[in-house]
Amino acid sequence: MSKKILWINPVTTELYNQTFKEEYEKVKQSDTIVDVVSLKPAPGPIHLEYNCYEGMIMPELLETIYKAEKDGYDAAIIGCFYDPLIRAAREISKKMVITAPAEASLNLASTLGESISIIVGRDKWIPEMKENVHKYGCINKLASFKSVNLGVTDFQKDHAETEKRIKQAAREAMEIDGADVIILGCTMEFGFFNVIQRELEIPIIDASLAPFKYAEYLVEMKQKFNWSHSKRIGYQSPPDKEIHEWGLFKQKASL
Amino acid sequence: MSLKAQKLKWTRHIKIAKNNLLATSRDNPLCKDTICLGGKILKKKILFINPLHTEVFDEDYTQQLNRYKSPETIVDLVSFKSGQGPIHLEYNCYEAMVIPELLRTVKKAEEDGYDAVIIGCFYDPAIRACREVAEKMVITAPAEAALHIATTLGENFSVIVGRQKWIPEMKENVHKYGFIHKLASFKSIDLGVHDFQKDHEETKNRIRESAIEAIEKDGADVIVLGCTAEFGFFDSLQDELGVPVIDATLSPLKYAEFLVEVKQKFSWTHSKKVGYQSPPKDEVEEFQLF
Repeated sequence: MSKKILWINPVTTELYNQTFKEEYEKVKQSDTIVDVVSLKPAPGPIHLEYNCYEGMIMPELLETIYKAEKDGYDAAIIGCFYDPLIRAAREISKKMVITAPAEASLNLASTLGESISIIVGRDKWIPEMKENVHKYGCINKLASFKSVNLGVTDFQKDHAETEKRIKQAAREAMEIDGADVIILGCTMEFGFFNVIQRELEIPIIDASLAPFKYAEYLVEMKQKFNWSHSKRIGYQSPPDKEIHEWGLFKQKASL
Repeated sequence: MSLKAQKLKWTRHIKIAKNNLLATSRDNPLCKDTICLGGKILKKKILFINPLHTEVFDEDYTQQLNRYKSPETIVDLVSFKSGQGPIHLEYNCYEAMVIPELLRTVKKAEEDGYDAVIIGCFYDPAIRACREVAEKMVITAPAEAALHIATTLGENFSVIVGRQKWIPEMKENVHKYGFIHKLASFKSIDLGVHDFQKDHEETKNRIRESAIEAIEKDGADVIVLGCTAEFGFFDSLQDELGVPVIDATLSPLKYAEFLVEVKQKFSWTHSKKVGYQSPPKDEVEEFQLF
């Protein structure tokens, strides 16, 4: 049985779709089929550093998820470390599994270590991400957030500089804050975990790879045990009648 | 268990595992392109330790684990020598008595090339000690695995246990794993570890009754079966109840496969830097441990 997984870059640029797809092809399980999409091309946010940007892409993100289920995907990953709309996505998905970077990375990090530091781009991101750390039950294991003063679109500009800054922040987190596991708190911080992990000798969790593997794991259990999101309370779907009457999830999907 | 007896038993398990492997390669089309890194086929070698001095569950566990494992997984089961200690761990003082044997078994599992060990008891006994002892191997246990998956699938979980006696210790673990705010309730069905498999109808009725209470009165949207011996019930119950029912034997199997997968692909394994630091080798030798 194959596992059909959709990674959604919830931004209006296709710039990294190909890179993500290639990276996933390298590490996927043999029975996984992976696709990567982004939202309709700009005008629109090409990063989600501001909560109000998240707000603006929400309808299209939901439409994309709605369509993904119709297209037979087993899982959708919301590709932003704020885990935007994870509840709304689970509401509209009937059978499809939904996950996102913070959820997957924190679950994994708190199994591999006991004191977590999250390396982010800017201080601005920290309060919103901290709400998620709390929600996922890891606040008592949070050693620190560290900012490297780079925006989402900066990480892949000067690789040597980005690597240097992440490494410096991770070392500080380890030596001063007592972290024994590091999460790279943005999906655009890809390409750095391996070299830094080898040097610091603690797990460095990549925010694009962790949710991809978590999705494979969730689909595996859905297929083997029929374990999927509970639709009984918080992830209850809205009445089809209302969705139909209000004309929701029909038009803008980017797939 | 004497070393000789242990060796014999393991040889038997490994034989079974080898046969399984051969059968898998022949029969399963997926096996042809099982995870390859650098041309090498990576198997996931997992040991489920039933930390009880009885073989009574061996066959059932082996059968369950092999039925649900991924094609590239080899899963073996080991329990402790019959007649030499506790056959259930309902009491914390029983746990204490089996921990040395558990740690020795973990140590040996690593020497024998296992990628992961599952400590097969919902108290997750000695999980920190096992991670200290393991150098590279991944360690997980039922409560950790079941609670992580339960909180991804739902938002309020109830744990169905055998006796009230178990609840306080298990609650400590719910707290430790960070999920106390998602705990709807613990429910006891007044059965001991060795009662669950005696009268299947009765066990199922009791689990069903308390799960319905958990859902309707306590607001649970996911149910966790809080003992590895509560196997064989999740499937039909979740069909009836309409919420996920998490089995305490199968959830750590899948979690172990996931952890080995990320270890093999990304070298993500337990951090040995702080709390899971291994003790100094010379001290371990001097104290003649393991």
